[in-house]
Amino acid sequence: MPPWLLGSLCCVLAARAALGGGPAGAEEEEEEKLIRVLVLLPQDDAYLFSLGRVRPAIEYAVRSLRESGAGLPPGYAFQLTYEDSACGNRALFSLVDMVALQRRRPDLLLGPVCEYAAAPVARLAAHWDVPMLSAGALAAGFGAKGGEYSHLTRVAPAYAKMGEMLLALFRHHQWNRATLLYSDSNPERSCYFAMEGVHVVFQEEAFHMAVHSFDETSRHLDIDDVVRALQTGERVVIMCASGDTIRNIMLAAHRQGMTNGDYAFFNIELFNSSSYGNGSWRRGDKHDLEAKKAYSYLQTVTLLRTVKPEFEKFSLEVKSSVQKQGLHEDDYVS
Amino acid sequence: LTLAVVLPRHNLTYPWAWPRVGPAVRLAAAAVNSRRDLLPDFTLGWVFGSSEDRHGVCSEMAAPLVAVDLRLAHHPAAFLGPGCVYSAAPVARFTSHWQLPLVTAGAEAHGFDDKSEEFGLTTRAGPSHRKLGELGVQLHRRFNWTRRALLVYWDERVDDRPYYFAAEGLYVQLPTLRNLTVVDVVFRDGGNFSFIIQEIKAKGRIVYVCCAPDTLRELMLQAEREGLTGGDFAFFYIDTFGASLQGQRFPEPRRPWHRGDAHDARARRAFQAVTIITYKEPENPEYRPFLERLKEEARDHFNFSMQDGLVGHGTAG
Repeated sequence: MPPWLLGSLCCVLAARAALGGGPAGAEEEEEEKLIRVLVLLPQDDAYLFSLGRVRPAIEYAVRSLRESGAGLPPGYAFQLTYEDSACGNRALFSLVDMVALQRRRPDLLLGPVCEYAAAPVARLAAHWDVPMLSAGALAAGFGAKGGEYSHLTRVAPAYAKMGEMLLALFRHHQWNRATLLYSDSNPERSCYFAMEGVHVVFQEEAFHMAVHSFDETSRHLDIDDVVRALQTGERVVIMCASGDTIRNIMLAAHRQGMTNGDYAFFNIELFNSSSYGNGSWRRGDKHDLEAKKAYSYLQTVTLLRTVKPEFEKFSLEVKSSVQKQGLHEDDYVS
Repeated sequence: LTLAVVLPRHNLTYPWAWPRVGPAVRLAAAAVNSRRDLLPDFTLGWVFGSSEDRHGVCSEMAAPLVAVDLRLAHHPAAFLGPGCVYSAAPVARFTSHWQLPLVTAGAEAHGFDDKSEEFGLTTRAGPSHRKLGELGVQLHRRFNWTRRALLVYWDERVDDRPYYFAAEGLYVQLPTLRNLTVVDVVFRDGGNFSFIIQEIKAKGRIVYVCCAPDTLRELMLQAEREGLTGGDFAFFYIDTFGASLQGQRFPEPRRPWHRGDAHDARARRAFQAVTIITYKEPENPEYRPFLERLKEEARDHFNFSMQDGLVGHGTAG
């Protein structure tokens, strides 16, 4: 996170300095040299991007900027405020409440990450001319910079990028048809938006797609039926669901004789972390052997972890911060 | 005391457009301020923000932004509008967060019935689709229609979906009648309604239709051709604000089948199978003089000539 974050923070600083600081009036000199940053992220550590996990990274960035001396005009300092977005409307309300209380807008918004929390905040940011950075808001809709999302900068690969990656793969194999299968279960609808990223790109290429969604939390879900329905469709299947469901799908596909080379299965694994479910075939149950065989016909698409040296240092520092807070290290993915 | 009004500034396709409601707000504020017993020590004023986006349609994105700006700039005591369902919802969530009352003559959708959380301080002064649904229930009880009802509605999903929400009102209430089966069918892309006609034949006999007046006429002409208008089927057309009944001179309602073309005679026969349900215009003695004053106010201050009966659109007056 930090390399681009540092860069972005520097840009905000430069812009602010160029504009001669904030609103004029009865404020003291010191107050004018404050960069007010509002961070909107979920308090709940069940989220990969919770306040507890991201805060150390932000503080690292602020510290690095201060220590490096470069990029920070003399006397300027960051003032960070952290608010719980609750991955929903609370983010928007926090922003508005803060502005009502302090009678001034923040200079920079970091987050929200959740799609439905980020959208109204981004619109308000554009309306109020406040820059916004997010490592989320990955849905296709946020790509439209002409209007309401003009002030949003997304720093993580959006789902459309993943769509482009799959497109490149398809072109390489000269494929132009696919079945998109996904679970539309959680309120954030991560798999829905991930698939949308693929769908948008594929549609532009006029690929033929069959789209099937299901609710993986439903008691009436019959995985065998879901898999059987695939047999009347395309040979290339792109899927998105929790790790457990993918495993059940692959087991069912294996039982129905679909893992023999006739089908190509792709699984979009959004984040390589235990928070999103175990992506491995192994569960320590009686189906492990079958699952292992089935998974040899499954290709998983996931985010590439950066290998830059700066990342190592950052990663170590932040992990030690995080551990002090009692969060499990494995759950932390930078 | 400041009232924050969020309504469409220009677009008259909405019953609650500012040129219609504005005169009423002016009259109301003047009336309140002229009486010492109402809100003593306070003067009632209002501020306005448009719920329209840059294309002139009521917008779920523009309305809350305007509401926030009004709140921060003027600290209103209450909000009036929006009327459009998709605009009203986010604004109502804000006003609920701010613990401010919101009054609207619109927002008829079922979702606003839930007063347990975010719409607890939202008051609808006009028609609600729950009431429409309750009317449907009374109709079925009255005529002992116990088996089935078909809801046919137009939905293109690109506007405020008035026909969808009207149908929803019936869809939610009618099943409270035991053993009644309610089926819904959606249609769009005008022209050939043969699919809908087939659905009506298969799933009728009591059919509620929610769509634009011109679409209804087209549908009924095709229904007539298929022999559905002889008395075997009962068609109920939901027309909350009487759009299909615009009279040249109130109170004479226009002939809803009439377009001045070659199909008028057939349309008239077809409409014999149609009962039009509208929101009832007030009959109390204060209403007529109020309308007159409203028209004057609109002419003098809003450069808008209101037609008789407010073009069939009731205000919260």
